[in-house]
Amino acid sequence: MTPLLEICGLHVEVEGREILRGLDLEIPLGETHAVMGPNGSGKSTLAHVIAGREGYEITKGIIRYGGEDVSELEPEERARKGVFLAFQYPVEIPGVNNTYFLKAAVNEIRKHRGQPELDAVDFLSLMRDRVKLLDFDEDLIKRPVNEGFSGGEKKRNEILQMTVLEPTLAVLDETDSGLDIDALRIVAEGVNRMRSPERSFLVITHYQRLLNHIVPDRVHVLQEGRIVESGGSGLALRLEAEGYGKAAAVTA
Amino acid sequence: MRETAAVEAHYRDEIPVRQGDPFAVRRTEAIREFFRAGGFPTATLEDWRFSDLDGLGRTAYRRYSDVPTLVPAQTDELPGWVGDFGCRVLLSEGHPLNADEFQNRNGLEVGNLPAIPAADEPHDWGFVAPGEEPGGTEADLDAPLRHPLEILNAGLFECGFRVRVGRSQDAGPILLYSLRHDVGHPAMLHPRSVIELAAGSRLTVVEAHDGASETAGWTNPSTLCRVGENAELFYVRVELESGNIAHTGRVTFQLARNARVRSTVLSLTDGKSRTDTAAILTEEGAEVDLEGLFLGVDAAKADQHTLAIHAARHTTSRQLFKNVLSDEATAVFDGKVVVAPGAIGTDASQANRNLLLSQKAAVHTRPRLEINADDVKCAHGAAIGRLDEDALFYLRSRGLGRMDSHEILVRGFAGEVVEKVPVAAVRSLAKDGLTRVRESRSFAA
Ligand SMILES: Nc1ncnc2c1ncn2[C@@H]1O[C@H](COP(=O)(O)OP(=O)(O)OP(=O)(O)O)[C@@H](O)[C@H]1O
Ligand SMILES: [Mg+2]
Repeated sequence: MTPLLEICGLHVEVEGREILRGLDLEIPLGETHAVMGPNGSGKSTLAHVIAGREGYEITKGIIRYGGEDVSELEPEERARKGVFLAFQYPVEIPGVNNTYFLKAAVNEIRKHRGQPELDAVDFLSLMRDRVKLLDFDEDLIKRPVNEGFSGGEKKRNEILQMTVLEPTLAVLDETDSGLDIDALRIVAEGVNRMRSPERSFLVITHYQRLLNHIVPDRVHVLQEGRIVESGGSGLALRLEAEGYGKAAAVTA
Repeated sequence: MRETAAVEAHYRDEIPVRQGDPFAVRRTEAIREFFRAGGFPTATLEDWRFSDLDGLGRTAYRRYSDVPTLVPAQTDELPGWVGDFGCRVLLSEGHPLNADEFQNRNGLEVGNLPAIPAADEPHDWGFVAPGEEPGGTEADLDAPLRHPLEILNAGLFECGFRVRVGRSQDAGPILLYSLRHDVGHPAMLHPRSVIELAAGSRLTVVEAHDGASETAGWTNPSTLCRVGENAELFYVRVELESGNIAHTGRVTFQLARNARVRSTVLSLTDGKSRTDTAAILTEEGAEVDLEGLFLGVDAAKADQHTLAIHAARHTTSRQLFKNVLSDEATAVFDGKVVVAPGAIGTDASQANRNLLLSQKAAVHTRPRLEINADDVKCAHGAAIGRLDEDALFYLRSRGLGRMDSHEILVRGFAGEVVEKVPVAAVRSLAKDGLTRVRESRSFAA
């Protein structure tokens, strides 16, 4: 079966600088993979390029999603096909109400799937349900998107959006950073509840801690723009103990 | 020289002549004063750098005939939103269409200015005596009334309007709607309104200027609002004129002790406008918010001048003017704060924020602070920027289309001003303006 996400020999330049240098990664449908790697190794670049950010130029290689080459697709087209990115640094959008924004997004995606749009009542009950599951502060969803949210609240808002938009591929970029211990557990439970044979996750993190809660099927080490090592969930434990220096040495 | 004399003679001839007009003498004096002070301001003057009125002076504008283009029976030709107002003054070419509808309710009194009994001193209508000089180093409280076009309006106004709210009454919203038509010759209009709130009263008033013209047109309205002790005024001004109409308008607020004013100027015109908003905080505790939003498409231009005069202790002024500029639109913001000697505890802030949607759009912004007292808080800031790429990507990554994402961000930017307007009909006019921005050539290009 073709993997849900298939990245082969990917080279990406940002502002004339090569960040990804021949990256290979495959995530079968239904699996959860973790990507770990030192600061600046290209993890967020990978996440953005999967989501279709402009200005990230693919100079070589290919990204297939559901068997289709998506490297020319606009970010909104990818989102409508089920790609979701939980941002490492969620953006504050003054003047744009959280609920309004999310309702517009849900309906855009539903329209693409041929589902009827949700009216205000249905949407609100969906929101209520998700807000409760994530123990999210109701007042926050009435405020402008992420404006004045604490670091942890922003991360939780990303996961709230994910549970409402129900993507097929969710890329979580350091969602654990900034979360307190309880929030981490709640967010991990939210993710675990969504795990299914019909959905894949790419979890980017620095810490083994998160992977105790969200146990991945595979762990990859990203260094200097390439996947230098892959293994089972035990690899994360070893990295935690030994650091990245060893991993690089292995492949050197 | 002879040329100036001819222009002056032209405007003297344009003075409306009415039986028993209590302002007849004042009108002639005003025309003389306007020309003695230099006539139409040109770009060589600091205050008029971006609004050269030389062209206005060279066009032989005539006033409309005394017969309005619309007759009362045609009020159904007015835009639908006008119907949202229970209390409204409808003017066509400066003449009232619905004088019989004016009612005195909830202590609200609406009247026709030239019909005011002569016993009322002209000074009550915001006229400055000719030749009066500003007094010494003290704050010049009449400065807004000495504005050249204010003086010209005092000479040429057709039918002024007076709105009065009685003590402790809660009135409004009331609409002052002025519509003009193209009559084939360069026509000018000088509406004049005086709004008075007695102590402890409240009023919401919307002043709208509408109409389209292919022939050159000029609208020069003056509004003076006197807000009594503890009274509260919500003032909303909507500039809707389109085509070849130049707009030069003023609104001046005089605030007594603990009076409160919230003013919003919405420039939705596709022509050129210059608007002067002034607030004179004459007594302790007075508080004013001056806000504005210009949604500029094509070659539209809005020149916003503001003046907040803190003439008493512990007074507050907050200014927020935002511009959304597409195509070749141009915005000017010239905001002045004057703190008079002794006006301790003044709290003044001023912000001008500009969103440029096109390479060709332009902004000129200039804050001016004149602080002559100690223990004063004065903040000002200006920002010029484009749509935030990170925010655009964020929205699109959630499935929202490119155009929609641009529009959502522009709406969010404008919302800070629009959402505070307490009249739904006006908020929906702003939405129409945002739709025009979305449909403009440079949008998301
Ligand atoms: N817009 C940009 N212009 C130039 N360089 C960039 C740009 N964006 C990212 N980079 C560079 O690309 C490299 C990879 O950045 P990236 O954000 O992908 O790292 P990361 O692995 O996510 O790091 P971290 O763990 O700190 O989040 C860094 O050296 C960064 O400085
Ligand atoms: Mg990163």
